[in-house]
Amino acid sequence: MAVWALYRYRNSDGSSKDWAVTTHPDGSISTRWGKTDARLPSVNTRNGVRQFDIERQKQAKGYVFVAEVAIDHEGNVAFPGQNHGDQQAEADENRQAEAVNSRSLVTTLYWHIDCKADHDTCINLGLEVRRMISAIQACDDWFAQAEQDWDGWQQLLDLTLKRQTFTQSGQIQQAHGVMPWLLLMAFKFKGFAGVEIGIATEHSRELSADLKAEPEVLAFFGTDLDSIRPVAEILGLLKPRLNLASALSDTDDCWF
Amino acid sequence: MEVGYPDPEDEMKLLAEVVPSMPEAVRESMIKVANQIRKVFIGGQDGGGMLSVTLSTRGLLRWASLVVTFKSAPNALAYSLDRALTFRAEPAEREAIHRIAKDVFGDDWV
Repeated sequence: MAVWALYRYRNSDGSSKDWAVTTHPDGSISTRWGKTDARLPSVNTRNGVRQFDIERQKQAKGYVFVAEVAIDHEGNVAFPGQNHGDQQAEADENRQAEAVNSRSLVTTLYWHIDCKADHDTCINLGLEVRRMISAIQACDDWFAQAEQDWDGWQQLLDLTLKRQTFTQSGQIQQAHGVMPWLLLMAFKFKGFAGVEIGIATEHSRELSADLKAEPEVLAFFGTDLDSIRPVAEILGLLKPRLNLASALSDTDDCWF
Repeated sequence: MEVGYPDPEDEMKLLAEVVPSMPEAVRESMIKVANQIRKVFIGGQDGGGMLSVTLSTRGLLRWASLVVTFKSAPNALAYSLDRALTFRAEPAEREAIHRIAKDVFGDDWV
């Protein structure tokens, strides 16, 4: 079965569409497309085009590479490790249960920022990007824990410097650590007029801006709410916890 | 003759006099907890409540005073509630009351 390169485009309303491409042994190119689903029904085959070129065209339009997948002649998409072929019947029987389970699993996060804000809001967004990046850079440990740099930091800084409308999308892998997700969540939580921020899982589940509602994403990054609480409080994602000893500092303390 | 519990506004004034340094948000939450405990204690029209203990205004003031006294205890709110009320409740009732308080205080109940 042919290997297809699967790309995904996230719409500003949180939905997404997929596009896949493969090159046949005779040099022809097939593409498939449709709304993000287990099946991509639409197909087109043509000659005289290089896969590399049309992949670049799609990326320029905001599509992000998802994975190399197998797609059968009916358009059924199988991610690496998923059943296909002879085991199709069994897979169909379990599809519904698997779909429920898989939606709760997180393997990659996809983010999308659509900035159509006015000039002043763009300036404020830029200032906030810098403030938040500075705030979390103060948490040295977090950056030391990340296995890979996330290039979104620089992309966001560059885009907000231009102070004009922009659209940007990308991925957050487990190796990037939890910080990029927290940063984007903080922007989403803050809510800038004219700036739409979407963060979704591979299965198109749009993530909320409520940290407590996303324990599986925290688990995906190998952390939990208590561990990230200090930085989440700095970013405004969690209300600072009550410190009675500090709040009642003008009274005697009888605890020992 | 039956007299109900004071209004939250009146209890807020009392708490402000007894524990003036306590943040207003904490005082409000304590009164919410007290009123929820009272509601479960009194029960509905069908019969008696599901708790054998309740938090009177005096108990509420005692709880607040103990919170100030033991402010550095791990979860001073729970530590003080135990001493003000729930140590004399059945274990299941204590758990139910603490659950009420946890729901009201949220992340601050630690």
